[in-house]
Amino acid sequence: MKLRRRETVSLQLVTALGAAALLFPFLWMISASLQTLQEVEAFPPIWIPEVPQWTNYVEAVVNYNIGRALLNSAIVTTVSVVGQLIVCSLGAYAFSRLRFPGRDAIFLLFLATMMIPHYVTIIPLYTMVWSAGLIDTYTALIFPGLFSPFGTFLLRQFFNQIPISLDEATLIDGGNHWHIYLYVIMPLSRAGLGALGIFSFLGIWNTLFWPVLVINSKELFTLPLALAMAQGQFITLIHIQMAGSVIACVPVIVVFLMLQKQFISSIALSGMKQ
Amino acid sequence: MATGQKAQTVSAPWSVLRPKGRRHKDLYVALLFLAPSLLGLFLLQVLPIGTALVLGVSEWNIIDPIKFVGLSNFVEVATDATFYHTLENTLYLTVGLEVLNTLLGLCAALLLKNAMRGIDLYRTIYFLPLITTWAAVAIAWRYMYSLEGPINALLGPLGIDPIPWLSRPEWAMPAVIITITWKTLSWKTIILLAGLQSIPNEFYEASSIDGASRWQQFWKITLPLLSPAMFFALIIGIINTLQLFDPIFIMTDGGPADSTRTLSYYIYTRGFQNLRMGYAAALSWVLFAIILLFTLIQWVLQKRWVFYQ
Repeated sequence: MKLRRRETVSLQLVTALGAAALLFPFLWMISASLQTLQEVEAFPPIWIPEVPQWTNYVEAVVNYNIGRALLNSAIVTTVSVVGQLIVCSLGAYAFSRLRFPGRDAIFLLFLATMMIPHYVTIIPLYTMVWSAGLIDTYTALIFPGLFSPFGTFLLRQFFNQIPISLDEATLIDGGNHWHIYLYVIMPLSRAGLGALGIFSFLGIWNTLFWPVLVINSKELFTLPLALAMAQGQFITLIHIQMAGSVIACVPVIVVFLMLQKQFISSIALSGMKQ
Repeated sequence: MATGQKAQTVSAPWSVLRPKGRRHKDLYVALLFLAPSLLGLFLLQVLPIGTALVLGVSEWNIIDPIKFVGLSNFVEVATDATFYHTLENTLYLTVGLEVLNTLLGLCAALLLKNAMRGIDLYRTIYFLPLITTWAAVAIAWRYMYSLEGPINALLGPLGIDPIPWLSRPEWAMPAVIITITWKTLSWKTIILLAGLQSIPNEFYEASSIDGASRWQQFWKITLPLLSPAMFFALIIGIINTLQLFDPIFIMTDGGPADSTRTLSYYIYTRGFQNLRMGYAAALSWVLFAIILLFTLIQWVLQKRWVFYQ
């Protein structure tokens, strides 16, 4: 479709207006994080701080537990994402490449559990963690992220697209299934592993519900939990809280900017959210 | 269907490579590869779902011994006025969000489809809210909604008096819906954009030769061919909305006066604030039933409006 010049200009204008509206909360967040307490409480609101207060960030990290929370989030997310990729790819390999009795029935069970809402399983999971004495531990934060039926399903779909002749070549060369998995399937599935990695990174980094349930002590707060709790505790220190919010958003934005194309095509492919 | 066929073609050569009767040879290898997944499936899905069934017919506050109470939790749900109120709220939120998200998401997709200057930057900006941490941005929105906050300050020059966004029952839900739209809009946009890009250009070229206007093209080509993507986005969108937690936890905690307490947030309230695990489990099964019902209804209704090529 060819557009006339006037149309192009108006299209561009509308798109830019939309972008400005969507950016506004971020801009306000950044501006507020650089204001003094007086500025942030002023009415009418001050849009641009007179002198940017970079010390707000130092204060958020040092005095308000954001530094520790950042570390916790990094640990929990890294271990969970790597673990999930390993567990799901091993399972997906079995479903894609191995023959064993009950394979399709078990795979159907994986799919069926994807229909059950999170809320049904989270109450029993909490009671399990509670009875096992795992409240307030890294284990409680990490183990639910180590496995995902969706991840297994997604990777199996990717593995199925890899030609079986490559496996046969490995077998003829004297390799076994472990070799096929490690040297054929995994290197050829970077796109699939990347997609699952992005989803689980975003999901686990951003998650609030589960940490709210299983973590009580400050030392184990993840970033979202630390922000939510700071809201109640330092209710008046809006500028410090906004500094914390900016700190929490930066890592996901960096990852997004690096992997944007892949991220968008993965959503379009699988419809995953959050 | 397609995946089933693929699975067959994938596994077929193995039976050729291997004599019959050695079909089970893979069993031990499969057990090794599957062991972590099966453990995960058991601990994170099968066992919790089984436990949720037991909890649904029990009374348990975690501290005292669990007590079997039959169907009384479900009877209580049926007569619980707050439950019906949360259902209304859930309906309000879901409908409001789907309408806004679909309209705006469609507009955004139509805009971002064009090859204009700076399109990559625009796309990045449009998709930014989706990936950021709910907790972080919900706190920002909470302050933006304050009586003397930036949103009212922007509305002031338009002649709108300061709105008590999160402090009045009649304004809290619209405020929450606006925030969630801002955050989830681009998910809808991505799905619809992919749908738009899969419509062959020839359709537009052929119809403009026949003298069709832009408007006619939109109604006769774009919308019908986009309907499968819209259907998919509608189903997944509703399922996700029905399970929202973070924005309500941060912005309103279900208030004021229960005006933003959705069914899923009510499950959290009963289970983890009032420690009524059995009742919360029963409510979670009701949520499951609602999701199933919604999806089935959509599935039946899709014949009327979804157009498959």
